[in-house]
Amino acid sequence: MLYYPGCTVKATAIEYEKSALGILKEFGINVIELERWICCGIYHGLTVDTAYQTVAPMRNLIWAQNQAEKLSIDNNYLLTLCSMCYNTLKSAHLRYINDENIAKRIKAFLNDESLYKGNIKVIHFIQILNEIIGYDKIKEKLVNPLKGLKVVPLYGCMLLRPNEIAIDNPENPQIMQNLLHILGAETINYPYVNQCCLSYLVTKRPYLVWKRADDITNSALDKGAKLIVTTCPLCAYNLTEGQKKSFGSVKLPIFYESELIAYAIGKYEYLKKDRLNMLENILKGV
Amino acid sequence: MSGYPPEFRESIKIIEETREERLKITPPRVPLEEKEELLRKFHPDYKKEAKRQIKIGAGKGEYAPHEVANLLEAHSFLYMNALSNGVEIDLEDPDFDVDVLIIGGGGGGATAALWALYNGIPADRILLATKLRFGDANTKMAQGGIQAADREYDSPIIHFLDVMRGGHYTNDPDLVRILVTSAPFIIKWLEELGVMFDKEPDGTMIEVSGGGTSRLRMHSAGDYTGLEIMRTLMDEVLNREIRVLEFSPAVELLTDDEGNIAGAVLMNLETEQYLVVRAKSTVLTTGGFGRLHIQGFQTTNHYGATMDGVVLAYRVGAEIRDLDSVQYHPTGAAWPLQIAGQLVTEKVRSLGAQLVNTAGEAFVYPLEPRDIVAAAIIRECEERKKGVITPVGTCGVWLDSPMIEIIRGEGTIERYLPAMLRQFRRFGIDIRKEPILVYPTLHYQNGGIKINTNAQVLGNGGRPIGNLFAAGEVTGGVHGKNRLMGNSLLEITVFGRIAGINAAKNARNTNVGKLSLKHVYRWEEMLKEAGIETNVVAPMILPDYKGDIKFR
Amino acid sequence: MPGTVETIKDTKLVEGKAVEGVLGAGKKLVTIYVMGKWYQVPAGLTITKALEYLGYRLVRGVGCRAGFCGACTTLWVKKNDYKLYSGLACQTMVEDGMYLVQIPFVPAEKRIYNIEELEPNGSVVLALYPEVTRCIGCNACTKVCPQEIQVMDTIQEIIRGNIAKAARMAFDCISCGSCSLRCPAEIKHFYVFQLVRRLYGKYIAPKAKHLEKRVKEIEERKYDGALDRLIRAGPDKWRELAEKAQKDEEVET
Repeated sequence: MLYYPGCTVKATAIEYEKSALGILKEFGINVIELERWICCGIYHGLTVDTAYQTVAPMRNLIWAQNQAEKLSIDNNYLLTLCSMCYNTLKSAHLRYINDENIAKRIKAFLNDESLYKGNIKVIHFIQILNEIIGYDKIKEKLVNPLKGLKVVPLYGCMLLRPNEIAIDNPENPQIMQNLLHILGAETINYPYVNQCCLSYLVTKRPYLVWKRADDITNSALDKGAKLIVTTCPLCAYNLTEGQKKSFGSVKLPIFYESELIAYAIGKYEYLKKDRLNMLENILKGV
Repeated sequence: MSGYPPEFRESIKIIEETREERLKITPPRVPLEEKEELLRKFHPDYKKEAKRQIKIGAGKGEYAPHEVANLLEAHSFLYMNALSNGVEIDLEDPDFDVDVLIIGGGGGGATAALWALYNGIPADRILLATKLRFGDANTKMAQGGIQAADREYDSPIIHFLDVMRGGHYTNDPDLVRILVTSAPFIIKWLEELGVMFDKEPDGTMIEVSGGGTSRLRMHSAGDYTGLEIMRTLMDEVLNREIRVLEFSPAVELLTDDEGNIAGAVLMNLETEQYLVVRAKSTVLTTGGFGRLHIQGFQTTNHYGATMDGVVLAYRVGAEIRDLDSVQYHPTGAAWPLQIAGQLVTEKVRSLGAQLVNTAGEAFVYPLEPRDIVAAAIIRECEERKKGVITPVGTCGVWLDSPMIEIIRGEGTIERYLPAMLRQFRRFGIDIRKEPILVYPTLHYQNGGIKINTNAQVLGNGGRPIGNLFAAGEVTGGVHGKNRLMGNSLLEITVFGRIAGINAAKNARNTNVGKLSLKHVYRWEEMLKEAGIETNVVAPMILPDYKGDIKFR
Repeated sequence: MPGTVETIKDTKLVEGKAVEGVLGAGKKLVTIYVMGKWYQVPAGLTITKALEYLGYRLVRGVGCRAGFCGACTTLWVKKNDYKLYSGLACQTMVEDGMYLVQIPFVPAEKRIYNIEELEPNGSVVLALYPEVTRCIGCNACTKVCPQEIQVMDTIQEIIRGNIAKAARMAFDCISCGSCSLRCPAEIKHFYVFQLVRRLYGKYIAPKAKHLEKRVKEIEERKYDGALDRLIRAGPDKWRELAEKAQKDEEVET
């Protein structure tokens, strides 16, 4: 299937890409990176004009569609790792097929390029694990159960809101916990499970973001968590930087779910060395 | 649809029909004994009637093309437009008071500015004045590359010999020595500034040959070596916050009461106000004379290449050399007229394209030296009448570019000559399928004002003129009577640096006296004494193309 | 239509026999509007030449006249066409019904930096030019680029930190500024590209070791003796040795 990486994954979350793509390969899913792609368009998520924010994601969808046709890929899936990209691309797709007015304006604006036919299925990494591979298959390959490891999941907001694109129940998501249980870890309930990390406010009002990171971390620490699990590179970035600001160092490490899977199924080659060491140290202390 | 007019059809057909046969042959080299005659009869430099002796100044008695002599024997722009009309130039209260004034914003000027700064002159004590935008210069247009002997198989000594041979041993050997021994240092400096030279994955420079160079020594940055060097130097000058004054050409130098140079009068091209700059050191990096269209030739040069620096220096007594020698690039575009005279790089010939006349004959070995190829093309047009006559009456011969695709495989042109392909495609000509019509074009001012190894401008009897420096095409001596490809980018950076260093040194030990324009009044008297009657006013600043459609 | 313009046109046609059939266009004239003003010029002229033919003396909006310097950015629209076109005046032929204006200057400010203190990564570029992240992917930049650079994609490579790729993609940029004039995110592409290229040239591209070696040799005066002797020896010796060098033979001094 086609794969849309996104800027943050390429810039600050290479460990996520490495582990996630590695796992997909383990489970027989062949991933092809888009030949051409641009920022998903998240920066413009708050513009008043919805047509405006649809242009960038629409280009990505058009390029995905053209490449799928060229390579005769008929499943039309477009994989994203980043929650932000998932949200932006999926929303744009829905806006385009559901809102005639927007579609008309987009067509007029992009009149020099190919038309979007509306059949790209934007899919997030967790959904692939859950719906296409199946958690049972993952269980079969388990060699290092994460026994006794207490973790808190952090969905962030982008996978769950708005309702139309949510990958699970926005108020009480379970998709990550279910997988973590299969890996042998223990998940802890805490109030921040679907809380927003404040995303790009980090560029404009960083102190708010540091405060939020502080709240999330302290709450998880109070409940005895040894690490935070996420699938969103921006959540990971904000929490890591926030902890450094508040505590001087990272008190509660943030791991991508894919890294834990790679470890649990014994595929260390998909982990960055320092990340593997860090994880092993945490498990030793359990 | 072809961008060529229907008249060309017949002759293109002959080129196509003879191509297969021609692929099998290498056109003969011109025998040594015929070379002299070919040049004498057809090379524009050898046309006696195109030159005359200069009647005035330090170069009195020397030969120069009429277009050059006209400017050297011209009235002062400042005198005619201001001084003689009672427009006052206030020399008591200069608009700028600096340590180093650099006139000319090309590669030489930018280099001089940076090296003056490196040698202790604060950025706000340097002023770089330029006629158009900063960086608008022939430097940007240099496609070929920059020479430096930096490999095991090469040495500065061999580079020296190549330069001398190229210049027919008329060069100033001491200047050439500096050129070749500074070359590796200059490339390293540019590399450290961030110039994207073409390199192998391990960092080894990719070096190719150029006409007249006996070793692979040509460093390049794609098709845009000059552009890449120029924009990097500009970026650094701006980062260092050196003051740059655009659209302000110099119209006259200033002297002090002892006759040393003390700055210049500039003119704001937009408001036409005069600006007085007092400077302890003045550096001329104004470039050459392509836009004088000597003998009516088209040119490869920038709009501003009007020889202003030579004119200004000549009026304060600078000696000149080799101004009688003009470099014509053999292959300028002859069609379409929109790009007439624009460079068709030597690379087209080195990749295998032959020069062919209307009879389908490859009449000259394509990699003969530039002057020989140029003369041979002119012979086809003038004597043998085997050139293509265009609808405007100009002439050209075919450069059979489709041969490249046959010899080196389809796609070669797209890969190695992308700029050229784009250029002609804009006018409906696909050079992969159709030949290019070419004719020699005015390319370079081989000579200029004399300098010594400290880049000081030399006056009467070879003595340096106080506080005046120069570098680049404005000067003569480095290339003698013929420059080799890849040595002009080198010259401007090597001598720009030397000029910058020495201008800085000089500024520390100089106190400028009372500013004066005496030499301008004196010049006007000299014109009268010499009996010169002329309407020409110089510096020219910009060519006048109002109503013109002949020159690109 | 103003009669004076006709006069200019007619004089030129008579005077310059050249105009006849010049540029393969016969006597055909096309109508252009220079900053709104009506003129007729021979078909086939470039915009630069058309302006000069009409008597304009160009100071701004003109430079190398060969497509290298980016000084002659021109914007135009055509009759019955809503699109705003852009190109280099020296490389673009006039078309019938063109409403054009030369852009004398593209407003943009270069950020000041010390290249010695930078690191070759995306954050450095974004710190100096934060507006780069405002790219909305509209692609207006790419559409107007006379150098056929994938401008938007290059900006996107910078956002994701791929400096090396961006530098190569932006190599042909001539800083004409057409892209920046059209950019809704107000990015000044040519300055951003300049920074990226220098970061690549200085930090990412591997250094040429042979260059360092030769510079050191020259500093240690390795060639001085030989050059002294050679220069003293005079033209006959130079000629002899130069011919040897041409034949790829060893040269001994």
